[in-house]
Amino acid sequence: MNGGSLHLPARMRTAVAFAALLALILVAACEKVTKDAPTSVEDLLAAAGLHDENRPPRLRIGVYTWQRPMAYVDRGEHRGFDVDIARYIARNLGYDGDDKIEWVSINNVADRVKVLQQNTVDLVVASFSITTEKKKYIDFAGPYLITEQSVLIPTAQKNAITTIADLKNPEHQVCTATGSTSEALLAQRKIPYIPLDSDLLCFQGLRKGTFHAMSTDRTILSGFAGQAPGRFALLDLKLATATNPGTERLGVGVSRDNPALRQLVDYFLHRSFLDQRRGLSTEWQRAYREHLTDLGPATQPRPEQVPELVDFDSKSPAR
Amino acid sequence: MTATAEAPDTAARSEPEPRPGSGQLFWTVVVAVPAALSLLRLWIEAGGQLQTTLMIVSNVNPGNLFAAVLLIGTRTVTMALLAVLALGGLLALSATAAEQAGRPFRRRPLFARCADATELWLLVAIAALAAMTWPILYLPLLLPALVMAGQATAPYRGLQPWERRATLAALLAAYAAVTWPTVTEAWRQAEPVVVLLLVVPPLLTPLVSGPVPRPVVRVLAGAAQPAVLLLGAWALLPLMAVPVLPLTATTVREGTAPPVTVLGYVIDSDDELTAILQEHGGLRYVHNDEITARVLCPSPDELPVYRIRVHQLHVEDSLLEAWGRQRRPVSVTDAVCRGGRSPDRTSL
Repeated sequence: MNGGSLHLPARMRTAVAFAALLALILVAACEKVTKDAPTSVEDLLAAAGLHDENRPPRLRIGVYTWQRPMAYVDRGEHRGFDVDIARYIARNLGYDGDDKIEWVSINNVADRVKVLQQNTVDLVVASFSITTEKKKYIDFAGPYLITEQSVLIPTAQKNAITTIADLKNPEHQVCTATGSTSEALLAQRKIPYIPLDSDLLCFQGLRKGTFHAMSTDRTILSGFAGQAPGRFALLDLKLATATNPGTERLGVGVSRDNPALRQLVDYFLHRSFLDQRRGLSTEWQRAYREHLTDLGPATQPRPEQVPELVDFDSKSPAR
Repeated sequence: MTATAEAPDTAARSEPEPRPGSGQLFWTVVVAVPAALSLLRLWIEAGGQLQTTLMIVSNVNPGNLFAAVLLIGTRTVTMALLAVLALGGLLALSATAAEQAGRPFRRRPLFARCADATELWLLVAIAALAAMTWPILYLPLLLPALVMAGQATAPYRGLQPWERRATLAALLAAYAAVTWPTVTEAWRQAEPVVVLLLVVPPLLTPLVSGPVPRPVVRVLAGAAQPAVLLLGAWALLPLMAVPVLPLTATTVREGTAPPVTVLGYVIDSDDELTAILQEHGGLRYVHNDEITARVLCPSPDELPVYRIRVHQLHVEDSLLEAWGRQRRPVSVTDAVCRGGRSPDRTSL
């Protein structure tokens, strides 16, 4: 290894290696300057129009105002599982606190699609089940909750209605909301039913004795049952069919014209899902414990279409 | 081996004695350059407006500002020093080899003299600083740089060739074990530059030691100084753009008007007023009574470009940053920081 006795090939080898190293540094420098940054949350916030100066100053979210325990108004304050999920999403989008949210009342099932198409809301968080049919008109983020269809009856009918066959009995008037998952399931089961505009109307009919049973999401029915303890009971009945599992995947409705907003909502739902999987306490869990604990233990489902985004905390080990 | 070991002595004999006071000059430059940079940064920070610059100068603590520039500039300074020393090591060995072959250069290259004058402890200290502050992605470049810079030092020359090879083999094996999952992940994500940066420098490390041919020395000696200067300037550009003041979002409610969020840098606060240098430009004074909240916001510069990690550490983090993230893993971005960068945006 005497420096003076080194023959040329060894020196050339060093020179070539050095040149290769320089070339690599140049390539890395060019990459640093020219590489396109991946899509970030900030990019999508801008693409979703949330940074536009001309947009409404508050985030407009469509929710029910009567659907315990999912979304209702209690002494002037919006409460419920859907409301808490909506607040979580809004805060992550930059709208922290109720003074930065415009709660838009949803009165019936059909309104949920209509308000999105008319662009009178940005999001709809209203027990909105994700279906192929609805996806023709609007987009969905989520699901954020998986629930099943169930049947609520007055306690007085407890002995009269216990099976699917009992529901098929023409003497028993079964109510459900038009366009709901329950409606499809009842039709498949060939159970005669009366469709009304909303679950609330069905429940009012059930209270008056107009109907003998009503069917909708188990979450909603447990809320109705809670309004008059002891007067109503949930049937332990599986409405599922071979082609329809009877489960309902609740998602956040977003206009089809705003795919960036759908991606953002999915991204933040997925973050909550990941935190839950890591054993961290999440707002989803807190909302479930507060509003839906009667339904038994549950975990947040994984959203279906999670976008690959970077955010300010993407370098953190927790991400 | 003995001839190479004598090289620095030969070089020292052929060079004039250092000018008296050159040590003071060096340290003056080391202190003065960051200080001058700090002041120039304030000019940029103030949006080029003289009055705003004077306002910031009169309020920003010079010690804190100097510390901020030093903190951000460490990786640039260590990069420049290592480039000089690595090139210097290569040129020193080549110049010594030329002298021993009886064909000395007219003047020993400047960087070679820098390498001759560098003690091993200084090289180790610079390398340690670089290892802590460079993005993990670029750390593999330290391996060949250290071999090139270290080959002119006595401890390296004191090692037998087999000892060097064994040490290097052990280092490379450990390196491969640590980085292999990252290399495969980078390959899967179709990030060829990341793969090259992780794989090529260690493979080149055994090949970059030793002298280079005479014409190459001439080219390097002539081009190295302007090249390093250019590299330094290029590395300084982002340094001049990185903010040295913390970015905050201040929520202000004037009377019954809806709250307004002011995004910017708080540069002064007294009993009555707070002066905020707005991110989009201009200084704004806000009554303290009207301030309802203030949060620290991340800067868009902090968004990563890659989704690749070495084990749990993100490749764009330095070891220090990654260590910090391990200690405080949860980072929360406040909602008011999400409101975009539009001027005087109302609180959303």
